[in-house]
Amino acid sequence: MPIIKNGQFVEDGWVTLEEGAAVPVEGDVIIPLEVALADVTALDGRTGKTALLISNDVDVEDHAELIAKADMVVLMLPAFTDGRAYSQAMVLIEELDYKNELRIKGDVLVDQALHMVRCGFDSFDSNHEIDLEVWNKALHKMSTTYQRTYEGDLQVRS
Amino acid sequence: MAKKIKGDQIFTGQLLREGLVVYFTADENWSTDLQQAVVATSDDELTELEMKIESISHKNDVIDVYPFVVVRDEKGKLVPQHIRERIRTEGPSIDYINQPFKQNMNAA
Amino acid sequence: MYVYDDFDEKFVRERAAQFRDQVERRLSGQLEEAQFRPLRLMNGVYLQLHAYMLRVAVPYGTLSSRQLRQLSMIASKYDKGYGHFTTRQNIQFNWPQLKDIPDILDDLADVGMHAIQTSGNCIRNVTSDQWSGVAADEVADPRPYAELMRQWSSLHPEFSYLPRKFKIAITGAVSDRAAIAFHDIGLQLLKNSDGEIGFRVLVGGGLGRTPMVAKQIRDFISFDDLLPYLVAILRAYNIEGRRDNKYKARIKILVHEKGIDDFRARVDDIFEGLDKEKLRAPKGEIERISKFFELPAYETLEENSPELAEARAANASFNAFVNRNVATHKKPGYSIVNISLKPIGGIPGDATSSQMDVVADLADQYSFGEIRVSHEQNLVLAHVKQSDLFTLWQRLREAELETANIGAITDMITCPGLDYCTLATARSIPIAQKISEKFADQSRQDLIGDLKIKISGCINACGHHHAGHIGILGLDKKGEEYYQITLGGSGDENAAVGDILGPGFSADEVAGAVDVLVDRYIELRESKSESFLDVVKRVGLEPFKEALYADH
Ligand code: SF4
Repeated sequence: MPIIKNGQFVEDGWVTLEEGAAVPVEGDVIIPLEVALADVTALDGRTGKTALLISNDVDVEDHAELIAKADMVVLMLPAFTDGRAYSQAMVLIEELDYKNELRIKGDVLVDQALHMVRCGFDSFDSNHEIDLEVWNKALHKMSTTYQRTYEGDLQVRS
Repeated sequence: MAKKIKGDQIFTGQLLREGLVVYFTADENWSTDLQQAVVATSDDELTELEMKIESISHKNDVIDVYPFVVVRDEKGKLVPQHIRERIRTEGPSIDYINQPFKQNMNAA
Repeated sequence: MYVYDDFDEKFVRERAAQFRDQVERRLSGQLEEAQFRPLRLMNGVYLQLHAYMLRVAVPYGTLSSRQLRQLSMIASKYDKGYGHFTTRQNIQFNWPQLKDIPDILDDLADVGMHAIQTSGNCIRNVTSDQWSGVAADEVADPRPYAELMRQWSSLHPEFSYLPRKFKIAITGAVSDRAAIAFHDIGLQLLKNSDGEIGFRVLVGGGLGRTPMVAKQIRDFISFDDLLPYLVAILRAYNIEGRRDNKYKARIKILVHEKGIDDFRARVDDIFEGLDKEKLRAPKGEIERISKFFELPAYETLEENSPELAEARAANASFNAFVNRNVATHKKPGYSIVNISLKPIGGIPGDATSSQMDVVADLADQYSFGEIRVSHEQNLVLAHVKQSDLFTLWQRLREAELETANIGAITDMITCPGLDYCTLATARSIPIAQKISEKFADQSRQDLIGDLKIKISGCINACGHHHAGHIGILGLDKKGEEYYQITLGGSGDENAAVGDILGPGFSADEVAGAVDVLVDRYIELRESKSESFLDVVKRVGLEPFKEALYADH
C-alpha cells in the first residue's frame, strides 16, 4: 500500500532493508533498530537517508543517540488495539526532542487516525486498503479537544 | 468418520442491528425461534454448517456466532443443555417487566 | 452541579456524530465487527446475553433532575421501561438496538450527557463520594477535580488503547465511600500545612480475579501537578503494562510485579521529564469548574425541628426510614436522604421510568434539582430540609421507594450476573432476592446492624464480592451454578479483601448459609455496637466455618 501523508497517497521512495541484507551506502533505507545496533558504523558513511524501524516493546529513551541521527522513525502498530506506539511517539517528541518525520506502520485504520495525528505521527503505512475520502473525513469528525498535544486546527479547551 | 464429541449442536448468533438472539435454520437463515434451528449430530455436520454460515451472503447481519449443545425434552422440543444458553433463549430468569411502580409503560 | 458550556456541548455532539458514522459504516459492512467492537465499547455499547447494552456515564455520580427525566424517557422510548444503576455510579439500559443508539446519544447530548469511555481499555468514568459537598467529614468537594479529570481523559490521544481498562476514583472525605483503594488510581483530597489543596495518590488497586488493595505512590501531590502526574502514571502503564494476558494486564499486576518502589521511581522519572506547563489545566479552569459546585442557597435553620421529632414519634415506619436512610448534613436543619433501590425481593439497582420521574420531581421540590448515584447502587437527595422529610417520605412511599435498609443486610451490591451478562458463570440477582426475602423483617435487620453483602456472577467481581463483609461469588461447576462465600472484606478506608470460607453452596443453599453466618455473628458479638466485620476481625473465620460446615 502507498503511504498516506497530509491526507494524500504518496510514493516516497523509502526502501525497507531486507532481512539479513547488508546496509547499503546509497538510497533511502528503513533499517530495523536491531540491525543498526549491531553495527553502528554502518550508518555513518551513508549517502542516502536513514530511517529506524522500532518495534513497540522498545524503550526509545535507551536509543537517544541513534534516533538523533535518523531522518525518519517508523513505529510499529501490530494491532490497532495495542497503544504502545502512541506513548513511544510522545516520548520521542517530548523527551528526546525528535523533530524529523514520524511514521506508523501496521494495523493502521481510519478510526484511530486522529489519535495518531495528535500524537505527532506524520505519515501512515497501513496493511489495509484505506479509502482516502473516509480517512480524511475521520480526521475532521472532531474539532474540539481537551488535551494539548498535536492539536493541529482543533480547538483546545482554554 | 462421523464422531460425536459433545452431543447435538446448533449455531447461534445475535442480530447486528437489533442484538436479538437467533439460531441458524435449515433454509440457511436465522430465526429467533430455537425450535427452527438445524441440528448437527456429528463433527462433520458441524463443520459443514460452519462453512455454510461463512459462505452465506448476509453474513454481516449476524455477529458472535458459535455452536452449543442441545438435548430434547420429553415432548421432543430442543432445549439447551447448559443453563447459560437456557437463560439466553428464555430471557432473564427474573421478573424484570413487573418491577415496582411501573406505570403506563410500553414494555414489550 | 457542572453545566456544559458551548465547548463541552460541541465536543459531545461531535463525539455522538462520530459514533453515528461508525455505526453506519458497521451496518453497511464497511467496518468489520473486530474493528468496530473496541469502538463501540469505548462508547459504552456491549453485546450482552440477550441484546445490546448501553452504559451511560453519570460523571462522579451527579445528575440534574432534567438529566434523570431524560434517562427515564430513554428507558421508556428505546428500552423496556427501566434502567440499572451500576457500582460505578453509571446507568445501563439492557435492551437498546444498535440502530437506535446514535439517536439515544443525541438525546443524551441534549441534556449534557454521553456514554464516552464507560467501557473499553481506556480511562473510564471517574467516580466519587456520593455525599460530595455535603458530608460532614469532608476536606473539600472532590467533584471539581473529578470534572477536570473527566475532561482531561475524554478521547485522550495517548491513552485510548491501554493494556486494559483504567479506573480512577476520588474522595474528599475521611470516610472513604468511593472505595478508592480498589481503583487503578485512588485520590484522596488533602490540605497540607499551608492550607494548599493536594492529593494523596494510591495506585494499583482492583478487584477481579486478582484482588489487590492499592498502594500509596505519593503522600501529597499539589493540584498544579495532578494532571502531569496522572500522565506519568498512565504513560508508565501504557508502555510497560502486560499485553500478553488479559488477566494480567491491569496496572495492579504491573505495580505488584515491579514493586511499588520501582514503579514509583519509574513514574517519577517520566514525571521529571514532562513539559508540565503544557499538561496543566488551563489557567482559571478549576476556578471556573468549582463555581458550578458551589453549595445551593441554604436557609438558616435549626437542627432537629420539633415537627420532625413529632413525626418520628408518631410513625414507626418513618422513624425506621430516618434511622436507616437519612444521614447527617454539614448544614444544620438539612439532611442527606438516601433512596434505596433495593426493595425486599426486588432487583438491586433497577429503577423504572416512573420512579426516575418521581425522583426527579422530588429533587426539584426538595433538593435543589440534584440527584446523586452511589456506588452501592442507590440514589441520594443531598440537600433536604429536615422539615420536609416526612412529606418526602410519603411521596417516596407512593413510588415504592421507601425501603429503609441503607447499609443494612438487604442493601446488597449485586452485579447483573447470568440473567444479563455474557461473561457470567452464575446468576446474582435471584440470590440477592432470596437473601433479601429471608431478612425482610425490619426488626431483625435492625438487630443485625450494618452488614454489607456483595454478590458477583463471575470472577470479574463487578459486584465487589471481595470487598463484602460477606462476599458471594457465583461459579459454574459442571453446568450447575454454585457459590463461594468470603468473609471479612471491606471497601472503605480500611480496605481489605475477604477470605474464602470453604466449599461452595448451591443456589438454593446460599440464603440459608448467610442466615447461619448471621446467627453465629449475633451469638459471638460482645455488644450491639460490635459489627459483623469487627467480629470477623476479632475471632477469625473458624467459628463461622464451624457453624456452616459442622453438619456437612
Ligand atoms: S461480575 Fe461477571 S457476571 Fe457480574 S457483571 Fe461482571 S462480568 Fe458480568
